[in-house]
Amino acid sequence: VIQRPKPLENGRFSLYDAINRRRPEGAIFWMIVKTLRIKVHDLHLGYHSLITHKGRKPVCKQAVLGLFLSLFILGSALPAAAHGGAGTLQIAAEPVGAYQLNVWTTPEVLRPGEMLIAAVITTDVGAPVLNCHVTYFLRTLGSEERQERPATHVTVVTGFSYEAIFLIPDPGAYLIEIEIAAPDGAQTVTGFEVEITAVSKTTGLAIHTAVMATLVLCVWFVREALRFWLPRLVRHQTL
Amino acid sequence: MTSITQNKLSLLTKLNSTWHDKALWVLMVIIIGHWIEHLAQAYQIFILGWARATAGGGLGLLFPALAQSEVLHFAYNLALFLGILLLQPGFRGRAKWWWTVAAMIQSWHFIEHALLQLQWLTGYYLFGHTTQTSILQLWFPRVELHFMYNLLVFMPLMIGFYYYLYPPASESAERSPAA
Repeated sequence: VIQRPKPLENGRFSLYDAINRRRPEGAIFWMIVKTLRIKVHDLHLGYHSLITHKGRKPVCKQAVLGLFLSLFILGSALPAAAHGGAGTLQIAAEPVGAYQLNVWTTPEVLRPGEMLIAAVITTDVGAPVLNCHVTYFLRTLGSEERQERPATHVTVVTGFSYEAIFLIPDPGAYLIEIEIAAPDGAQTVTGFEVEITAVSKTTGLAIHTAVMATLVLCVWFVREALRFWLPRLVRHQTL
Repeated sequence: MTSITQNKLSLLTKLNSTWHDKALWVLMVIIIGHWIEHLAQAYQIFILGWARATAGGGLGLLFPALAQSEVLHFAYNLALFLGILLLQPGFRGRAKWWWTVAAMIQSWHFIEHALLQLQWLTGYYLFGHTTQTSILQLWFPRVELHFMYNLLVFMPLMIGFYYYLYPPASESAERSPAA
């Protein structure tokens, strides 16, 4: 079972999780380790005792660790991928009865269209809890009318997350409420706000310009193609 | 073995001499068609407000699986990259310069698609993501990113093609033998 790393209170991931192939800098770190054939003894030890070359004396330790730490800092500052990535962490380690709740939304920049909500409910030790009943509600801020989606374990994100997809019609501020009935009988309602932003006028203008330019180009291309191919076709038929 | 090598060499030679014009026209039709598909997808998302999952360009409307096919994207990019490289020797002067620029940009685009394809094949996803992810996708969404990639490759290719058809006066005398 692939376990989603447990976020810290600030929404970041621990160093161990980063190394454990869950973050870009973690993956890059492993590439360095494998390329240089560096032996990693114990990830829980301090930085200076992490790495030795082929199990012998430490080599290029400062350089490798410096690179790794730079990547780690860079990676921690990176937003998650907006398409198919982990999404934006909206709720981090919120208590739900005896359990903890983490909620993500995808994509990173929310636009009118599809929005995926994925929640992971875990025990204190991070084991996923699968037998909760989770329902999501979406409504425009200030409005009582709301859309309802029961969560499923359809594996868009992971097999153990509670997921639902909403179709956001318009830009604006929305409230997402989450109703959770935990197996221990605890009922919790929590939520968060999201801002759905419209496509900028500049983007619209750029796309319309690109469409017009492509149309002009297509006309030119067809004209040139006729100039090139017609004489050849005529010659071919004549022969 | 020698005859096979000679055949291969003669094919490359033909592609850059007697067949160059025709091969280039075929490649350009494919390139323009592909660009139109990406433009249509961007139009569907940003102008028509369609959900990304359903915005698959023109062909994606008829065959939704096409837009989702990682193999198709990879195959197209491989074919484009090979097409650019194979036809590059047949260019001269300014046309060659622009064609080479396109080849350089496409080489990175191809690496990104190769990464996506490897992840799709192995099921091992980079960066802790739950689906195949290329490097620049860490900063940009896939649709926008690949729209830009294709635009950045498409523009120098078109400029190179234009200079191929209409070389500057100083280069006219050195025009490709097939022209």
